[in-house]
Order: sequence, then C-alpha cells, then structure tokens
Amino acid sequence: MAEPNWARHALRAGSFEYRRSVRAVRKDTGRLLLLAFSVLLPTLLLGGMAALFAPIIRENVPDGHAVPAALRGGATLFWLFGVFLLGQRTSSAHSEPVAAPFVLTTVSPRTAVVGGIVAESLRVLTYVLPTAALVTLVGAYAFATPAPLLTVPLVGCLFVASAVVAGRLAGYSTAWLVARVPFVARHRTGLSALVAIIFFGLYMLFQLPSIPYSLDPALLSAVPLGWIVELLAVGTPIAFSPVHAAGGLLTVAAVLVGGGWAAQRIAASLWFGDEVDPTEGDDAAVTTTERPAVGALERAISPLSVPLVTGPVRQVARWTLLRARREPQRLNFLMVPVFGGISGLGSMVLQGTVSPSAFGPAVALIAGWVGGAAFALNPLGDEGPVLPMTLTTVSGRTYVRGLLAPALLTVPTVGALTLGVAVAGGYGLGSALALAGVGCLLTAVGAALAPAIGIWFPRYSAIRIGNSDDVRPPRLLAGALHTALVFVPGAMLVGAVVAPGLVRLVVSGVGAVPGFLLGLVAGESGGIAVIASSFDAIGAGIRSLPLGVVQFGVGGLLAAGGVLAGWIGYREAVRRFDEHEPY
Amino acid sequence: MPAIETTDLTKQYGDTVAVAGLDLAVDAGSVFGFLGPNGAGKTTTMRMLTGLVRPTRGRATVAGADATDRDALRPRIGYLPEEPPLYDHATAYEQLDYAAGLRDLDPERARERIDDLLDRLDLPPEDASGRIADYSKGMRQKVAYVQAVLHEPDVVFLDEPTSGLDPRAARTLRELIAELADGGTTVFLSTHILPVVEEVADTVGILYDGELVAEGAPADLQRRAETGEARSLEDAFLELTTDAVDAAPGEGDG
Repeated sequence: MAEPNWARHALRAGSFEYRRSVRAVRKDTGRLLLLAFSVLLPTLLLGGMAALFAPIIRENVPDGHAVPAALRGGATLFWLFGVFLLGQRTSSAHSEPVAAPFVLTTVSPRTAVVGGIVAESLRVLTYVLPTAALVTLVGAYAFATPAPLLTVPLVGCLFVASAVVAGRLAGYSTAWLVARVPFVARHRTGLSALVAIIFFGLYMLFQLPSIPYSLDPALLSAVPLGWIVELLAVGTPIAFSPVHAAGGLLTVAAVLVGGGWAAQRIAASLWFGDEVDPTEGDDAAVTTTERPAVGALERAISPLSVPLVTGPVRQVARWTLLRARREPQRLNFLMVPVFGGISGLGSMVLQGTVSPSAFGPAVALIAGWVGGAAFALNPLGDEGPVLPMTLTTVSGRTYVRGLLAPALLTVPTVGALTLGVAVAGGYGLGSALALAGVGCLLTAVGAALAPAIGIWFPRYSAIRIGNSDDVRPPRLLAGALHTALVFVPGAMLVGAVVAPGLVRLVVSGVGAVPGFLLGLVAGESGGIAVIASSFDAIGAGIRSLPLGVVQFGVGGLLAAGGVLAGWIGYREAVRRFDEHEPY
Repeated sequence: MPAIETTDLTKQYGDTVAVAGLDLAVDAGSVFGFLGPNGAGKTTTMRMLTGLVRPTRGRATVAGADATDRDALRPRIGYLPEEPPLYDHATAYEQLDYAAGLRDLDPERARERIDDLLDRLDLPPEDASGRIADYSKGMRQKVAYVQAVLHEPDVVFLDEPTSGLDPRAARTLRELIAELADGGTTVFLSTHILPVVEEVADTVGILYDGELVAEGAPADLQRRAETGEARSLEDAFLELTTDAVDAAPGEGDG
C-alpha cells in the first residue's frame, strides 16, 4: 500500500537521486570526460552524416512512402538491447535504493521503485539528449516541418521510460532469483555470463547480415512495441499508419503500468524478504572443524593455491585471490578491453575484413594486459578500512610481492592460451611460441607495473557496483596509464613477431617524421635543411634494415625495456607503500 | 624506560594544528587512558604513534622504536582503530588466519590464542565462520580486538575498543585489557566512555584542542578539579575541557 502523495514523493526522490548522480559524475573528471566523449562522438558522427544527407533528403522527400517494417523491427531490437543493459544495471547496481535503510523506512516500495525509475530515466535522457536534439532538428529541417520538434522528444521519452521500466522489472527479477534460489545464488556469475552470451549471440544474428543463420530485423516488426516509431511520421510526408501508432502507444502504456506494478511487487518481495545463504550445502565453505582458524584462508581459496612463495607474502597473495573471488564486481573494468577488443575483432573476422589469424596477437596483448591488471591496480583502495592494519603489519616488499604473486601465476595460462589461439589461427610453431612468450612477458611486466600505478593513483571512494556500495575499482587514470604502458609497447612487440615490416615502418618514423616536419620549415639549403636530411637518412636507414634485424633488435630492445620498467615499477611500489600516509 | 615517550610531538595540516607539542611518557605495562572531546587530536596522536602519519615536528618512541620507523615498529605494536579494520568478504577465521600469517606466527600458537580470545569474548565458532559483512558492530569489534592483540605486542593502541559491545562483552574486554597490562603489555586506550578509563587506566591524559591539559592517575585528576571535592572523572573531564582554553597551558598537567 502506497502512502498518500506517493507520486509527488517519487518525483522528489527521483530528482534528488538524479542530482546526486550528476554531482558524482561532475566530481570525477576522468569519468566525466569519458562520458562526454562517448556522448559527443556519436553525435558528431551523426552530425556529419546529417550535414551530408539532410539537404538531399529535403530536396527529394520520399512522399507517401510507408514506415518500413525493418525500421519498426530495428526499433524493437534497439529497445530490447536497452532493456538488457538497463536490466543488468538494475540487478548489479540498483537492486536496492541508495540509502536503503532510510528510504525503505520512510516511503512505500512503490515510491522507491518509481523514484528509481524516474532517476534512471532522467540519466538515460541526459545521456541521449545531444543525439536526440540533433535528430529532432535534422528531422524538422529535412522534412521542412515543425512536427519532429514534438514527435521526436515524445517518442524518445516513451521509448526510454518503457525501456527503463522493463529493465527494472528484469533486474529486480534477476536479483530476486539470486536472493531466493540457492542454485542461482551459487552459480550467478556463470548463469549471468550464459545469459549475456545468449542475448548477444541473438543480437549479433540480427545485426550482422553476413554471418550464417543471420536474421532479418524486420522479423521483430511483429512486436508492437517498435510500432511507436510510426509516430515519427506524423506531420511529415512519410505515410503514417494510425493502427501501428495506436498499437505502439498502447503497448508502451501497458509496459509502463503493468511493468511498473510488477516491478514494485517483485522489489518489495526482494527488499523485505530473507536472502538464502549461497554457501548452504557448499562443501568449500568454511565449516567448524577442529582447527577452524589456522588454514582458513587456504581453504577459502581452494582449489586454487599459491605455490613457490611462503610466509606473509603467501598470505597477501591468498587474500588477493580471495578478494577477487568473493568480490568479482571489482574486476568489471577488465571486461571493457576483453569484450570490446575480442568482440570487435570477432565481428570484423565474421565480416571478412580481418583474418582469423589476428586472434593470436590480440590474445597475447589482451590476456597479457588482463593478467597484469586484474589484482593490483588499486591496492590501497582495495584494503578499505583494513589499510591501517596492513600498513602497521607488513612491509612494502612483502605486500607488493604478495600482490604480484597471483598475477604471475596467470603467466602459464596466458602463454598456453596465446599459443593455442595462435596455432589455431594458422601461425607456425615458431611464431606461435614467440607470441606466447610476448603474452607471458606482458603479463609479468603488467603485473609489476600495476601496484606502482595503483598506489600512485589510488581510489579510496567507493562506488556502487553489484549490491555493494563499497566497491573501489581502479581510477580511470590508473587504468588508462597502465593500459598505455602495456598496450603500446606490447603492440609493437607483437608486431615485431607477426608484422615486422609494419614495425619497421613505424620505427622509421623516428627519423622520417622530424625530417618531414623540419623539411616544411627549411629551405633547400641551410642548417635546418641539413638536419632535416639527416633525419630523413635515419628514417631511410631504418627502412632498409633487414626484417630479421628489426624482429630481434626492436623486439629485444622492447623486451629489455619491459623488464627494466617492471623492475622500476616494483621498486617504486615498495617505496610508495612504505612511505604511504593514509590520512 | 617508558614504553611510549613523546617530545614536542606536533602535527599540522596546513594552518590547522591537530596536535601541539605533546610531551608524554607512558610506563611499560601500564594502561594509559587517553581522553578528549571530539576533534581534540586523540586519533591523530595514535596515528603518529603507530607510524601511520609522520609528525610535523617532535619525536616519539614506542617500545624503543622510533615512531617514524615502520619496520621497527611493526612487530612491537598492535592497533585497533575506531573503524574495525576487517574485510567484509572474509569470515572471522579467515581474517584472523590472514593476520596471523602476515605476522608469521606459529600456527599452533596462533590457533590456541585465537580460540582462547574468541571464546573469552563469546564469539562461538559458528559465528566466526560467517561472513564479517553480516556481523553486528559488537562482533566486528571483538574480531578486530583479537586481531590487534593476536601477536602479543609490546604496546597496543585501542581506539574506542568497547564501542558497540554489549555489557557482558564490554566487561570481558576490560578484564582482557587489565590482563594485557598484567602481562607486561602497555595499553594506550582512547575512549569516550569514562567509567572504562576509571576502571582500567593507571594514568589518564586529557587532550584538548591538540594540547595535553591534564595528566595523572584518575583519582588525582578528580582531586585536582577546582572545588577539591570528591567528584567523578566525568566532572573533571568536563571542567578541564571547558576551561582549558582560558587556563594557562599545562596548568592542569600532572
């Protein structure tokens, strides 16, 4: 039962939450820049296309044409994609209201749910605002009518609101299953990965017409939700189907009302019910034994183990592994390059623009980076309130070695994975082994660099990931710096193995680029011209080097530089830890 | 030789003086009650003494080690900060096993000590096997206390150790603190709960606005209060931390 004036309370709660999240983004410069980039880049691309095509459309308006079924189906596909992302976001980050003890003892679940929907809708609308504004203006210009000034914002708002409501419903339902069903609770990581693979697999079938068993988006035009795009044709020369438009509006209304009602019921059950214990019946869970305390950490990370190191270093390594296992949300940041890189490459391979052999070098690079970045890019922040205890208990050398150990344990896995993928991609054994070696080296160097960078640029403030307000992923700056330091030389090293000619060309830029630039300002003679020609000669000299020399020379230099950088990183991390003042 | 000794210990953050010229000597094997209102500089002092923060000026030694030399300090001290330093995702057993391993303690001895202390603090094995994230404040405090004294340090720093404990556990903890001191451990105890200090502290120091405005046995402080009548430590505390600004520095020092 909702309290009186619940709608007003929900609007107030939603706008308060929205302002809070905007302030949080504004305070985090790195996140703000990333968001601005991700919003403005597609807007600029779209703007460029609009500048090219809008005048042509204006001159040749397709009078009387109906809205194509593929557009309605595409809208449905896009809506489903949005629902999936918003559902993931809800189950992982918003399954409870922020400051739940306050909210749930102050307002009804309906108010809390609707407030959350309002806040999320405002966030999404803010995100799409520049693109939507551009589409609105371009529509008005291209069709020479003011109708899009009304229809585009209307359709956009309904589209976003319905996707948010459906996403909340899906997210609360997922969180409810995790909270109530022991099997789901125990296997939630695997199950969510399976759901994501199935969803994105289906999505790709609709998106990539060139792949086998691909599906036509027009098939989804039967789903009435996408019919709402028919409203965009109102007031334009495009023919408008009132049946489709009314069907779309009714479906959206049903999603908003029905979905909102169901989301409220499930959320109330989720928030006020008892959670199951995911370790119930789990033999690996700690049980009361004769010696419960001693060896508890070793049992907790089982079947993993930390060989080779002993004493306090091993304890730090064990805890680092346990934290990664118990708090996997903190590793989410690794998914960006993994999914972004591999799925992007996979898409290009499927479309035939890139050879499958590209997977070998890509795995060497990405797996090497992941191995290095996984455990130690925010060590001080990861410690949370335990940091004073850690600083007063272990030395920097012990601590940093403990952080390095789990990452170094991944070296054989990275090597084997790279070798397997490279051989499967068609490389000879020599090249495959060299790529595996590069992967191993990058893992080790990345592991050694990560604590230094992480301690230098720590993130202490927790952000909300998963159902925890207490997750501290690495700072964007730390992630970017580590990525640049591993990826750029790593790409050169991989290139030295599989494309030495390209590396030779890039390295020759050391001479060619300054030579070219100086040549622009120099005359045909004089001091600058002499210097410019000297640089040109250096570039030409490098370009004339045999490829074997490039492979071993550049590769050797980069490998040695990596080892040196890793050593310096390790020393720096130890020094910074020993000198760190947490207050 | 005092277990804790500070000379002109000062910490400044910009223009703000958190601790001003603290001169202190705490005898080995004693319990030193460190009192002061919120923001007086108690926690900053503890952080300097545990090596977590470098003093702006002055010097401090703890169990013979310079407080800026963390390597020398680590094996000698235990520290229970106000916020229990525990990992939410661990169980109490895992946390204590971790701490024992970091200290390189003998496993058999660590097991006995953990079992004994948890038993004394009434934290049964079934609770100690659960995740710390699900613990009450009092349970967290108990685990954090065990962690701080597990390695039998020479000096232990306790910041509000009875916070969140039920009366029975609080009494047990007071007994444990007294036992620690009887065993030769020096206890540096910061708390707002004055009866705790009255009961267990051998010496009390009152910090106000970064300065030590009084030091002595609890009974001495009571007597030293202006009226001279037998009053509680609470009265003395309130009087000293209200009038200290107007009084000459060190007027109340013992």
